[in-house]
Amino acid sequence: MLRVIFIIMIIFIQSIYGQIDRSIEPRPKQDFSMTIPEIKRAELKNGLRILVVEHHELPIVQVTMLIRSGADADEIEKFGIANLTADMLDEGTKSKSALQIAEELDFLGTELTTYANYDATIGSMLTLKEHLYKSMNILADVFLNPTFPESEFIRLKNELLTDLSAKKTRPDIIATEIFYDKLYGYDHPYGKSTEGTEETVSKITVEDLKRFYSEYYVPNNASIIFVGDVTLNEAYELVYKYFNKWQRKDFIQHKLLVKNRENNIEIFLINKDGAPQSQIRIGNIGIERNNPDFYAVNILNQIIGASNGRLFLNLRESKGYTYGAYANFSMRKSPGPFMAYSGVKTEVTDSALIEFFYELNRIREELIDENEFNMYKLAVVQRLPRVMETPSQIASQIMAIELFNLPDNFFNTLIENYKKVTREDILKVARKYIHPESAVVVIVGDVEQIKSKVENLKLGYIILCDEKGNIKK
Amino acid sequence: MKRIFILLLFASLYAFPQIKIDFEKYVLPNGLQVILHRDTSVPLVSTNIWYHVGSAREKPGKTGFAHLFEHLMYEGSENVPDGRYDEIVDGSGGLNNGSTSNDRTNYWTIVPKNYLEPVLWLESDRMGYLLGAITQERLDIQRAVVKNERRQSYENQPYGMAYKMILEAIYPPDFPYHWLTIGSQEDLDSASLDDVKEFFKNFYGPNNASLCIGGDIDIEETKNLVDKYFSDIPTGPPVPKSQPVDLKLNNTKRLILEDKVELPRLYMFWLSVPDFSKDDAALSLLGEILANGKNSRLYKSLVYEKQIAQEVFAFQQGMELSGLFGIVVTGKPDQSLKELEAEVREQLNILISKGVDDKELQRCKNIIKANFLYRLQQVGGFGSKTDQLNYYNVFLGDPGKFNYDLERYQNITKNDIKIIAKKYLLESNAVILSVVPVGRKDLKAGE
Repeated sequence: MLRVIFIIMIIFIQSIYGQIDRSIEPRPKQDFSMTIPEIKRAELKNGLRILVVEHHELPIVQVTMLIRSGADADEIEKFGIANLTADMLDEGTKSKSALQIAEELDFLGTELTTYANYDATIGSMLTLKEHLYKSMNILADVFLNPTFPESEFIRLKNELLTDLSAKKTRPDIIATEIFYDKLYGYDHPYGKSTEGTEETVSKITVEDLKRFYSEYYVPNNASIIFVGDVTLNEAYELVYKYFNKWQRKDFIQHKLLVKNRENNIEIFLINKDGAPQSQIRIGNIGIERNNPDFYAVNILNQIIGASNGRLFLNLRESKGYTYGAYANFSMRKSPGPFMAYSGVKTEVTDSALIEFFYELNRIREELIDENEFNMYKLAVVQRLPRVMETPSQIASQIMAIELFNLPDNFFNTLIENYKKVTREDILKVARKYIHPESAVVVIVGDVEQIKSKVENLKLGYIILCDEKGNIKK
Repeated sequence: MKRIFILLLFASLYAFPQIKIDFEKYVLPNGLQVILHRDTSVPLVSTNIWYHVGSAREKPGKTGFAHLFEHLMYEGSENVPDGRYDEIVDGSGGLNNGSTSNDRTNYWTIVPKNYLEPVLWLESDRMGYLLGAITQERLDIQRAVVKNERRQSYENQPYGMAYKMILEAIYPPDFPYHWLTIGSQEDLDSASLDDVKEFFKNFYGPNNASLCIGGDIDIEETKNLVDKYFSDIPTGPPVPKSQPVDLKLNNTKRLILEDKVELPRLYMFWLSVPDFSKDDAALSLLGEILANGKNSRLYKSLVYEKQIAQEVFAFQQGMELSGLFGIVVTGKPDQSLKELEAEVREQLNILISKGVDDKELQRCKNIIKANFLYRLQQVGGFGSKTDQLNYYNVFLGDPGKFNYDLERYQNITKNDIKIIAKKYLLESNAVILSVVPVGRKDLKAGE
């Protein structure tokens, strides 16, 4: 009530400004409402799905080609085929060379990137509306007519092998990759990064890419998403023109199984002589994307792992151990990793571990305070407009609908579903999905300085590894 | 209704839309510049504040202050308890961040539109009432965080110290671009509470700031809120204007750094020109011609055809007082940097003797044009509309310089490229840094 009077005074009495009482924190106004963009659909006879969201603010269009197979369909011994196949699409087609394709795209100012993640292969294109027709011509060409030229393959493969080798100098990357490996094991696709390793990539041949392409790049395994200054009719006509002759074909849908670990903590130490920081990774296998606990787990993640979450506030803001401390549930078709992580000063490595475990246990043991809960929950509830502002953002949100079989009205009910989550739900999902008692811990740092201190914590077995994660005798 | 009007010009196939971003600019009596931009496409509001101060206002021995300050700005102010800033902004579902460069510091938020007033309360309190909240304890914690940032992003990062060596070699010790914005560990250690407060008093007044608010706002209501929260903040001392300085490198300097890296990397840096000065746009285009895309000259020759390099960058970095033109080439494993340097120079010589062709220049102009439009998708954050409005306002005195900026590139001719490449690269001395794996000095570039 006081606030209402105050606002009225402000409107009428300008001179009051000099005397405002700054100690009173203004409250946000009532809830905002947001119009969720409508998804319009069509489908070609060959099974290719077309999704369109009209967004006419700027004369640009985001076009996303989605193949619903990615590194989940990779072979373990030759891991990285999905990624290299995607990478090779614009390296030559039946009618154009790699340089010609790049020249045409650049001349139009069109951006096209092709890549694979664990769940899908994605061709993401941003174009000016006036060049939509020409850009679609190129997108269709690289998806339908790639020739995988041997010389370009050798160049790209060498570039990738060099990158993979250079990664060995990045303690943060080493830590994350060894964490995945120890969590899922050698035989599981989630145990490797989608690019593969030096060992697996060096075994890949151009024939492997051609086989992967012919098995999975089929219209009945694909969706094409348009967001921007375009209508369903325009999009349909373009897709019909370029993709109608694409042949439907049977393919294998992979479903990866995961199994959680036995009950003990393992700490893998990797030496980095003289490192000023220790890179720490702690976690366990989390949840899949279409798990009904999705809503509660996202709020849990905000509490524990966001940039103002408990780990961050504890390790950075109150202790000054680090530049940042976070945690994240990666949600995929099958349960992805839950990983808490930070790079901390070498001399506080053991103290940082204590705080990590303190926070991971606390969220499972104590019901979160109501005010604290409401703050984190509100952050998740009100996040939607920020992640659905631009055509590219909207397209990447909609991709989830296609990949994880979510209903088209998923985003319309999202806020309501978040609002239903209670503090008790947080305790429940924390106990279910965060497992400090059987966590995998990876630390990359100066072993000589940190080993005995970490041992003294008596957290679990300590295992020394080399930079590829091989256990040292 | 969204207030961006795009007028399509159909003059030729590749004619480009004129960009019109509607905004209103005014100045409060205390000197604060205010820019309002309405865009109702999503229920978001973004605030974006630029303080016209960066590490170039620091003194040798007291480096890293502007950036350390960026951290302290999030630790509470006289009426805002420690931690409340993030609780409100992050807690709203929003985002916030800041960055410090040589010449300016920016702070932005993106929040749901109903949070405009709380955010203005936060931003105004730390602009006007910060000093009483900076305690020794807060300073010590943020000093530790910044030192960790330095470890993570520089010392523990492959090639992380290269840029520091280049700045120290190319700028004289008393020139304010001689040091990294993050400062040195020693200077951070010796920063006293008084030093920090002094720096704030001199440079963080409303008269040295530009506040841009964009998004789903009501213009009149927003003006009232800005008045309510910002008009009582006292003006700071006048900030002397910085003037560009003409510098010359008298001889080519060669440096070597043995680092924990797998791949050798060659850095070639020349003194160029400040942002928005006469040859700035042509030099930016030269960077595109040399290293953006498969058909760019250095990429095509070094990475695509000869395959002696893993990646290549070339760029003009125009700043307020000076500029740098840089070429950075990462070699394949065991690649001699001497050979890479020779190849780079060969390509520069070809470009200067034979010139560039029409299609090549047009391609680079088209990329720049399209990126201009792509950048306007977001109302808040780094490189967004509000950030861009402030950028033009702070450095050109007018937020509405979008088309002026675009046209600078479109007017460049083939001959301009040839002339500036000759003047700034061929006929000028460079700092040439070889970063090689430990024990592999044999790979270094040399005479």
